[in-house]
Amino acid sequence: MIFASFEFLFLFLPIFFVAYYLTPVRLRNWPILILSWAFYAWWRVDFLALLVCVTAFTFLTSRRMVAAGLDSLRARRWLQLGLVGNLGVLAYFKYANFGVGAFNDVLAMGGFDAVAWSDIVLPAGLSFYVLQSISYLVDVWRGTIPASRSLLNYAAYKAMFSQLIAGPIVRYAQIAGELRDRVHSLALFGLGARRFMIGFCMKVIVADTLSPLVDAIFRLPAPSLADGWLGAVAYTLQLYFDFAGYSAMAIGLALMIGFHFPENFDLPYLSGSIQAFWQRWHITLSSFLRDYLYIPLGGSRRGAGRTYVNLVLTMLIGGFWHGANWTFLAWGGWQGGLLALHRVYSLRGLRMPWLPGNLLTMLAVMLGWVVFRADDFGGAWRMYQGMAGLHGAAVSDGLAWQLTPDRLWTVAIGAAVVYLPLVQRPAAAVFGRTARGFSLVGPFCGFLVAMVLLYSRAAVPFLYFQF
Amino acid sequence: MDRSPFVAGARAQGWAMLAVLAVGFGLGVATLAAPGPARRIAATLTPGAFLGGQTAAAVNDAMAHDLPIGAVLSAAGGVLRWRVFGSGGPQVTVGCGGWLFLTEELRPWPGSDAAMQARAQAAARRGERAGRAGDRAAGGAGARQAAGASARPGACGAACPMPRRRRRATPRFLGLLGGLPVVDLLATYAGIRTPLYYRTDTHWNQDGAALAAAATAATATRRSAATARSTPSTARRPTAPGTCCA
Repeated sequence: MIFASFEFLFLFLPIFFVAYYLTPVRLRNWPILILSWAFYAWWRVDFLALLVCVTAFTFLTSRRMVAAGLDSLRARRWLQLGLVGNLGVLAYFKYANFGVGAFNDVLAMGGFDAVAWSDIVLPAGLSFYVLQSISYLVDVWRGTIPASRSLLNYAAYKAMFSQLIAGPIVRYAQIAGELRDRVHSLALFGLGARRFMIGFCMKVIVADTLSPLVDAIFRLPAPSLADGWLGAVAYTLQLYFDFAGYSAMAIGLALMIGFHFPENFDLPYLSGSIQAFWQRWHITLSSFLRDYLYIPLGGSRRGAGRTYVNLVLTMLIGGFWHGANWTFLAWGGWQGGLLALHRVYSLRGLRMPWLPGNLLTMLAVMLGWVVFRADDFGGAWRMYQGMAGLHGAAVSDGLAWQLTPDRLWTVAIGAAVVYLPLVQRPAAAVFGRTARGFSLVGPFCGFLVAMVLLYSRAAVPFLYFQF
Repeated sequence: MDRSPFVAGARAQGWAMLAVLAVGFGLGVATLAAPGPARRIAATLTPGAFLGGQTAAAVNDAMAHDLPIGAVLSAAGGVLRWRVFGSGGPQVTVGCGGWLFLTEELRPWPGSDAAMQARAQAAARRGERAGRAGDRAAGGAGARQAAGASARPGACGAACPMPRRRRRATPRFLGLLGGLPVVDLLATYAGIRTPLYYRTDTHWNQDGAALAAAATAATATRRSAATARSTPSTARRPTAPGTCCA
């Protein structure tokens, strides 16, 4: 079930809120757990068993760690078991197809027969809830948080439908207190509803309108200069509005039941450097990679050379986390290389003014998104050739018939919304009451418009569901 | 109780959301209770179908297509697209001046070059056979409006790739006809102010078809007379885009 669908809006959500608010306050984690499991099982009942097993396994491992004494060798062994178990599940479901495919390629080069293999389906949200397990186990072992004594609370945290499928990657420590005791109020519910409606608009009005355009451009056999750049810009906007929209919906839904999730995006496309971009894009993943990978690898504490290696390695792993494909590795390597380059640049005391910095950052980010979006290197290469003008300059015939005014306007509107915060303060000063009125009524009106659009076209899954 | 405008605004948005959810839930229940969706969902109420996801899929399908206010939402979506963006939706491409095109007809189909070649060869063969039968003019007279969109008024903007493709394709097509006489309907239509195409279709209207028929008949008559006088062919062989041919 996806948020931008009528079965979610008109069936699941009303049932959830009625069940949740009719349950006595101290028992309200029960409807969260049960209905979140129902939400997850809506897609595949059998994969619910996997979620339950991972939840129980991680909970029990953490309890055993505590029982063994966190400083003991046995606790370390339990931690290792917990990490290996979780990563093993991720490796099997997410990377086995890729690994066997690569192995078969090597066999084919040597003239050997391929290993017989049936493709494994990746359970929705697995990449996200495994990262949650890892952060929980490591935090408990480090003593940062006490291990949960309540399986119900821990299972409700893992299963909470608003963040189960595509994040934000909420750490147990961030909501542990609210799992025990949280505030409910109509104002909080309304603030959450507002975030949800804004996210819904971002997803349905912008991202889903751009989706067919992006698909069409990335399918072109020989995109022209105009096609290539339009595709890169459109995908840059689609990915942001899709994922940031999803995150806003998740944060809003949580707020409606009294949870405060961490922010996942902070105007990333307004960044003046690649480092700033990664501090503002998918913040919960970036901070996970920093705290559980980059710093344990040594961070910047072991000399300049090792720091660059750590940066690139962290981003390579971050890229590979997104999907089992060489393109994601290339994307991760590109990001790691850019971060290392930025470090070299900034350590020499060089600073770029915001405007050229932003333009350069966005260029680097868009070039990265091309290989991130492409199905394979061939597709990415075709796009890069097009962006370099090797297939002509004008819009190609293969694309021109798909350039509808609503799609082109959406590109323009999306870009305007991205850069709107730059003029938000002066605009608010000029428009004053009108701007405040719009901020009150706008999300609701947009929500109604988005529902109209949603019905007149098929629901589009969130891009990050595939990861 | 906090009565600041911010909190009051948040509460108002909360109430608005609750209202949407309440109305939505009513619509959702009505959708599932309607005879069609209820029948389809009931057919999936078996353990196997439930575990296999067919029950969920049937509910999703009903919610996506059978809402009681579905027709209103669809119409509102169309009006919104049209009023705000001037867009005709995924199936209709809007030209200027109220001219509409089926988007699929603007699409460059894979293999269209081969199809064009086969068609030109077939026309040339027909022409040859007709020529052998002493009626060479008839060979190229089966006028069709495949190239018509380029000549249509209102093909500006959205349909611009169409004329461009036609401009490239027409001379090639004429070359493939191998000397078969053709009727240049673009020249025939030039200067005529009355509409010759349906505005919401890609076809000629009655006037357009009548003019095409008259021009074709005139060419055929001229060629027949010329053949009768045993003089060489005088039919024009235009290369202008928009030429309508067999």
